[in-house]
Amino acid sequence: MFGLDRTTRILLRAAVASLSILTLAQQASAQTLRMWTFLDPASGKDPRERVLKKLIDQFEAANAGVKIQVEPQVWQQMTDKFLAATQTGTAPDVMWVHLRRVPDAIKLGALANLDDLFAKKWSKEEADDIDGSFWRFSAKPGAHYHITHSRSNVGQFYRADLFREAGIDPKSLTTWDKFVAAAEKLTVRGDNGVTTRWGFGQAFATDGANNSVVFSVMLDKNGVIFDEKNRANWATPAGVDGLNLQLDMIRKWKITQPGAVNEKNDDLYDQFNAGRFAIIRGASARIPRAMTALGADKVGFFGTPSFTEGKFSPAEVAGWSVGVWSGSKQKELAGKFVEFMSSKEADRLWTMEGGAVPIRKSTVKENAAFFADPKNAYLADVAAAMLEAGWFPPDGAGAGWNEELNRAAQDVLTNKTDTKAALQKAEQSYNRAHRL
Amino acid sequence: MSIAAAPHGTTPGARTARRIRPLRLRLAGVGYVTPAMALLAFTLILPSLYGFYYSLHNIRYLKANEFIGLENYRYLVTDPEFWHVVIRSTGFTAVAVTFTLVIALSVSLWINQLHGPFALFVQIVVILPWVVSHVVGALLFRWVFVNDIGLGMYFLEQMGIHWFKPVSDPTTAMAVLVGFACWRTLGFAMLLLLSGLKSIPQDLYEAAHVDGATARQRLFAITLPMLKTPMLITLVILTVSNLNNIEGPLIVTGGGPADATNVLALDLYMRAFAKFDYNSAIALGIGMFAANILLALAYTRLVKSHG
Amino acid sequence: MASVAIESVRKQYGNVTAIRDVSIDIPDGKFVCLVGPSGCGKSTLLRMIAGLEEISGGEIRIGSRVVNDLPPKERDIAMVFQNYALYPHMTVAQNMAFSLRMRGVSKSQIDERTKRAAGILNLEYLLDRYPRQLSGGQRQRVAMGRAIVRSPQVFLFDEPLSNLDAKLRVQMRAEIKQLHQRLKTTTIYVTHDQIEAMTMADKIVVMRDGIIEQEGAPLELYDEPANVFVAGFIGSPAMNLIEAIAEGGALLSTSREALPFDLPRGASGKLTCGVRPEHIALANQGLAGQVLLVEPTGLDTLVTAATVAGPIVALLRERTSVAPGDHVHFRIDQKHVHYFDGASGRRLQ
Repeated sequence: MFGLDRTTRILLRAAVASLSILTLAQQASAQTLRMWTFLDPASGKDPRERVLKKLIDQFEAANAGVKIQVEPQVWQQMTDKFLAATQTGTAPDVMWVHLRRVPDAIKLGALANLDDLFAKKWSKEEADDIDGSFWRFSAKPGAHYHITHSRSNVGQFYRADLFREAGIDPKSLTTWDKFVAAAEKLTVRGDNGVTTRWGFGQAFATDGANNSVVFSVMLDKNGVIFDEKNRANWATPAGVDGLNLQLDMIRKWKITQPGAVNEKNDDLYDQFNAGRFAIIRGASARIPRAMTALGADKVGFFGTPSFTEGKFSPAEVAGWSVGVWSGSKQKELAGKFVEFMSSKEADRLWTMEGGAVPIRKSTVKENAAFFADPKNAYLADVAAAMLEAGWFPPDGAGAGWNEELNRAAQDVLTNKTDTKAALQKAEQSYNRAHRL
Repeated sequence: MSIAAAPHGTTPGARTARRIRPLRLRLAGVGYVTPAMALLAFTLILPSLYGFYYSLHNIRYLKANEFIGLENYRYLVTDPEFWHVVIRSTGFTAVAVTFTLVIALSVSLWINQLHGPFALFVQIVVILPWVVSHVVGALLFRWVFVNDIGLGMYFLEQMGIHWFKPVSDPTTAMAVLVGFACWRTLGFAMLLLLSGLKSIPQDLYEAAHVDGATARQRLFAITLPMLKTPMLITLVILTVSNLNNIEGPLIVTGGGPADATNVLALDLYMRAFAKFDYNSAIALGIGMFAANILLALAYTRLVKSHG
Repeated sequence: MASVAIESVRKQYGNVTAIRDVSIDIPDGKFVCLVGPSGCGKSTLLRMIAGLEEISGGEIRIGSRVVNDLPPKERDIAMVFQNYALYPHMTVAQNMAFSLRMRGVSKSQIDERTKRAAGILNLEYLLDRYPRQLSGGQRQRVAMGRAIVRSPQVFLFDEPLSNLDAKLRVQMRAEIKQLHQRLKTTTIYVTHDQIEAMTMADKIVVMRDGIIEQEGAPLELYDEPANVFVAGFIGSPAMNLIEAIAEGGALLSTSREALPFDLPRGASGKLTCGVRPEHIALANQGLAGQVLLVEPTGLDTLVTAATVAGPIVALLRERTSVAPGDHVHFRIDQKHVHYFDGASGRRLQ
């Protein structure tokens, strides 16, 4: 062979062989649907992972020759990886997009219109069953790009056992005054002045930040946190009041731990489980895990208080918007699977076995007994808080407002910066990062 | 001077001609290095070039749009926060590397004198953090120093010290970060220095002993000069490691409080994955890449000239 | 300068005894070689004198001082190591000045003494170089320069020439001897090469397995080896040693053939006869043998032949035409035959 020596020939052959393996893999994928999600059906640790496995098995059984290949991803980077992969042509057929990144994904044309794939064939009844702000989020009229699963809302986790002990009704804590009074009552200080239990655990670390109190107060008072050009607009009276309220919980009422200045959300869940915090600010998706750790009767959820009696403050909703990659070669099949994962039967499984917030109104209606059970009641509480005070970021909003607001909180606590100045700094940093 | 007049085999042309190998042999050589070069090209060279290409464009939704030249770099260097981060990172790296080197040197000098199972035990204890996954290590560190239920904090509270929250204060948070960096890299630094110590011929010490040097004089006149190259190599490796380490600032201190522990690696991470500001993130990434290349060059030169 | 006295010195490593009851007297200004096969304890003994090894028992004196518990720097000795042990990060001048610096000698003193030592060893033009830029012989000289710069009471050499090639070794041997003749410093020199010992020493101490086999002037050892070991160790080419049996007033080989040696008076039973190659000559009659090997050196010729006494090596002063396979006869100079007891190996008088 052209006078090549033996080694060279072997190397060339190996190269050719590996190329043909790649080609074979490409061909085999004709019946394989790739999906990226943070759930790993093979691990089954999270109840939702077990539901996903069940759904995949059912779908594969009903569609001979089809294989759903889940490629589990790290949730923080998954959406960006997807956006990058759509441009290199290597994105999966089915994608779970972080709700906050849905506008970007749609603007980039990364998601296929689900109406074209299946939704326009739906009866009005069927469409109404999942219709709502989640479904309409970021969509143009007459188009839908995603169905949002694993919905979650930032709000207050509370230790139901401690509330019972103290005789406090969580449903009554809709104003900040009542909330602070309850948290003071729940704070326990030892004889030596050491606090053994804090009424309200907060975390102001910039990594993995959630909506903080100031965020909810600004939305409650102003309705927006951005101006018409999507610029951060925080150094306002509402912002100053909100941040002062948030920090007075440490400075004035001593119901929040001073360590909050650099603690993370994950720390809060640990402390909550350990009984060191009676209330924490958390994402409702973490409730099932807390229930597993503590028992269902010890964990509850309520929305964010406001300055108006009987009304919750807005809090950001989160979720995983499942859609089909616009560049997929098997859009029909992928759409079929997305539709299947969002069917009535599937939603029942997600809710009743996976502990997820229902995405269909019929699921709540038809399973009244399930939601009447006190240990599932929180799902209805979360759904109610979302319905009443769920906040979606406006299209074109950037990212990192939670981080910047927490940075302002740290700045005030650590450097004794004036509240308004700190908010101004955070605002500028945000606007600068987004070239606004 | 004409070529004909040159003595045989001394013109450059003649020398090159003699060095040319038969075609078959050269092809085999190419064949041997091709897989490694292809792997490097795909995992290192192409992404770097691609990254540089991206950095010259406006990136939206992870897509390179219009060419904007050095605008991303200009944006980065005119960001007032950026220079604070650079200064902080330099300070952090300098302090962490110095501490680690001094401790690693002391420990390896100590271990070098030990014999038997105890020496092995000490070595294992020191190397362990380096073997442990850095993420796990960082979480352990955080649990000891951060939470009220953390081990270290629990003991302090038991002793009646409840005002000490290291990660809540800017100075102590930086100290914790330096501590983590030392803890993480000490084992590796010690291994390098210990192997350097072991390679110093014993008879140099005996000669110095006979020449009348005291233990202190032997340390400064023999051990440290002979350890110069291993120490410089360790210094470069530690600098690279601390400059790029993300587990420490991300997990242990989270960059806070009030940016007190926000260093370059974390800043890059936050720009990219919290603010999704890929334009400045990629400029910073390429800048750090260049700094790393310089350090790697320093490293290879050190290894070559003294190795 | 000082004498060195070693008295009943012992060295023990756990249960292993490396040196047992060794006593040597080294007069002031003498050059003494400790020689023996590897593992005989000669290097250990030298290191004990230097203070690099502890002394398990006995006493070492330098001059009038007992140095058993003194650290090396207080013994006023200098040592030249087998691998030279030059400090690689220091120049030749710094290497030589090191011990003076450690003793806090003034800068001008250091310069002067370094220059003088360098002059003695012809090192002046190398003073600014680093050890890695030197040849083996130059390094060796620097190592010696480092030793002499301090004018110690005793020089200790630990196989200093073993890393040099044969030619350089002969040259350095002469240099060291001349250096000693010039400085007259008491010198203890360890080697496994008996030629070095023979050519350089005032006194040789032959050691084996941690004991002294014999000590004395080189030619004393050569002419009257005290036992079979010394007889075989000293001299090159080595002495022919022939196993024999004294029986019925005659000497027989182990295969019961008559041997052409006189029977020493009163000898009986097994013994070993030793005869140096230069005391065997070709003759028309005498011990018969068949030539196995002929090795001409130019100056003389070594002939190895198979005889009833086993293989015999003869050193012939004159050129010879014998060739392997030839049948020859050897005449043995009876005056120079050594006899050793077969059991103890001791010399019979």
